[in-house]
Amino acid sequence: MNPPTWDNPMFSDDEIAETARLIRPHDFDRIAPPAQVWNNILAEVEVEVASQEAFARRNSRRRFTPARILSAAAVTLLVVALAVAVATTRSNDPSIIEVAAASMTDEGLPVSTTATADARFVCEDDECFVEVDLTALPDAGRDNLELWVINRDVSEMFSLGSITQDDGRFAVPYGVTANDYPIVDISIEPDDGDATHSGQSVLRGVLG
Amino acid sequence: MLRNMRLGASVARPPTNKKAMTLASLSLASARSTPSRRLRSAIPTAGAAPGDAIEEAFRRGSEQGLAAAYEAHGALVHTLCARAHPRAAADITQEVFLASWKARDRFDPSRGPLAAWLVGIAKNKIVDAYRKDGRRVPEAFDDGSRVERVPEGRAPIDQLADRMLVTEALMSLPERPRKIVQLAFLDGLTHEQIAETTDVPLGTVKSDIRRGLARLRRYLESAS
Repeated sequence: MNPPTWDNPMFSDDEIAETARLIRPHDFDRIAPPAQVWNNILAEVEVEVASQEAFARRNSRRRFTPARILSAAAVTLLVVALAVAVATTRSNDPSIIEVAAASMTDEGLPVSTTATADARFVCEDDECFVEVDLTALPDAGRDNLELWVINRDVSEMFSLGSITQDDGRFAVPYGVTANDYPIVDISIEPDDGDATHSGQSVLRGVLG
Repeated sequence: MLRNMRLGASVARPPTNKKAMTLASLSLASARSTPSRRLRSAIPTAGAAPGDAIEEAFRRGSEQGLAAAYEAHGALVHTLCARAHPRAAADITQEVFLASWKARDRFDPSRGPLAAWLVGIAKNKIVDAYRKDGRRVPEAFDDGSRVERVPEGRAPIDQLADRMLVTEALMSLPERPRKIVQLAFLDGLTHEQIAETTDVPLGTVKSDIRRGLARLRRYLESAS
């Protein structure tokens, strides 16, 4: 591909202006990565650097003074330790970890039901899910049952999806934790195009 | 060396929130609306160190250089990943910086800013992440922004990256030209209207816009 030049720009002034016109205020927002990202990068870079150094050492003819042998050993140890550290953080993949669980009932809620449910907040690799198991589907008439996770002061919540059968597994958005969003809630949602919570909760529990 | 390195990264709590909402009608306690957890970057960004120093340190390959690049551009890369592939955003961000560090010799500052080069890598990694899962890259990214018109011939991922690059380029401009370029392109004011509202001479308005356009082009083209 030829690099763009002033005579042959890839973007005309109009195209740039057009792109700029599509900008919305939230395009200026930036979301800082989780702290773990930098730690992982650093760990891998250190492994790389250490192994390059070890390689360079092996290929250079040097007298084996005690200090050299010790420092070579230190590098090797560092490489092994970091490799093990990286491997152990990664190798939990296949196992599913239950982070928290809750029993859900209709106690104190606007809609009553005889049904109860168990909810589990599980994580697999770096994806998390809420698994629900209901004794029966509460009667929602012609409306839908929707599963939510809600934070402690009930100021923020996420819809995880519609419940259509008595058990299910629902992906949790990235960054949402059982600790920050401990309330699991099932509500009755009319099909009215309004994505917000109807307030008609029928089952609820607190993850712990 | 390595051990002394600490990144003073401002770590926000993870984001998301298409559906964060208040719950006035719910029976549990008094609901209070909290602002979205997205970080609004302080304007102008670009960190404490000047961009050139960061790029130079990054090219030299020291871990400090990588740390400076991450501190300056980590949020940009992560935001693009979070909007294009929310599930894998952290992993892809990690891959982007590792790949960029390994390929640092190929970064040529004369062809464009580091931020744009990283965005170019991020686009590839995002597409790879979808392919690896055997999924197609979505036709549109549901980020709550209704994009009415997509410039012809631009894939959705390019289009999303373009938006990030334009805002990044704008935030890298000094205050007066940034404001003038925003009035011209985002608000659609004529040069004369801008001169009138900002009380800046028309000639200055025109040259700010010309230079601003050049800056935007540099960001857009070097990521393509």
